[in-house]
Amino acid sequence: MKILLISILCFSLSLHCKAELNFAKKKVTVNTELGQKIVKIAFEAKNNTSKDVSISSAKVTCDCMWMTSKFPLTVQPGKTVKLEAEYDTTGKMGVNRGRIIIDVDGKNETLLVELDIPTAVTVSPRFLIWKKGSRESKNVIVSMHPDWQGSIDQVDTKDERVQAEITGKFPKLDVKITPDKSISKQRTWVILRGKDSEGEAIENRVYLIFN
Amino acid sequence: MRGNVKVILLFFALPLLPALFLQSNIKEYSLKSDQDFEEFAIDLLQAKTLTNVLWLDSRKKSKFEGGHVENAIWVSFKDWEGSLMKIFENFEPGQDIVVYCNASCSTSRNIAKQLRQELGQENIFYLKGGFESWQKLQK
Repeated sequence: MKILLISILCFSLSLHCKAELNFAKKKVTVNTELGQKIVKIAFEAKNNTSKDVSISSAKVTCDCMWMTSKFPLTVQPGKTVKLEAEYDTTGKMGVNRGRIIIDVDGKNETLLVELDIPTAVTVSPRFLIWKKGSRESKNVIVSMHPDWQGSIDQVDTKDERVQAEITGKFPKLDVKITPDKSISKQRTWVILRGKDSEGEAIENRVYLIFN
Repeated sequence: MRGNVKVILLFFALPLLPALFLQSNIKEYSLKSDQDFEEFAIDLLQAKTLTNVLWLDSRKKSKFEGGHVENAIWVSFKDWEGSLMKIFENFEPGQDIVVYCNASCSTSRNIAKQLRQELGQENIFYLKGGFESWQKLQK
């Protein structure tokens, strides 16, 4: 009985001492909108102890992210603090992660940021491989994000012995590519042309390998 | 005497329990987001068994210029079309592709995933442990 009581007391004390800042979430997941350059991220934490808690600094693991909250900052007992950061999505695609390591009263706390950055246009496959002399047609699918305001409406071939035509309409196009049998072992490409959301010309290449 | 030992052991062990719980939570955060990519992760020993590999380096250009896996090509999402062109110029049909960056970065995984989608091939991987694991093996 004595052992049990002491154990419960120790456990309670340890819990109380550990949870100096109680984070609502230690991981934030953001589904970024198409074209969103800067993403704001926030973590909320409450001071559940009876004394002030000090956050002296915060480090980020990626130069694409920075803290907008100023440090050092003190969180009074019972108060909640919001730690804010920004993430620059420029030149990034897919699921990206970053960590924020904050110094809470000399101890490190790690906060995780995960962003899913969408792609405006996906062309698949980008590489097509033929045996030389083949006349087999191959298809490429162009998938466009539903929120994308641009267009793809033209296909040019670098080698005139390759024929390419676009069918389908937004948000999914089908590009049929047919080579001439006279093509020897070589590499070439076709170019899909269009305009992005700002009206600027864009091009996506599909690479052809005749092996 | 034996009872006292138990009390002392409990006294020291119990305060560690919350820390263990917190630690397991942090690991779980990482693992959840890693699961989607697990199928195309490869470690260096596995990569060494591949006979014909095109290595892609997705670290910062300055890091690449400071040293890289032999014959690796530098690629970046910032110039994705240019990167695809470089891959096209160096890729041989049937070749495996391994993408790496630093141990803690997620770019190589995203590039491997994007290439799998865009090239329509499954023999494209990212290197677990990143460039650091390759460096360790050289020492």
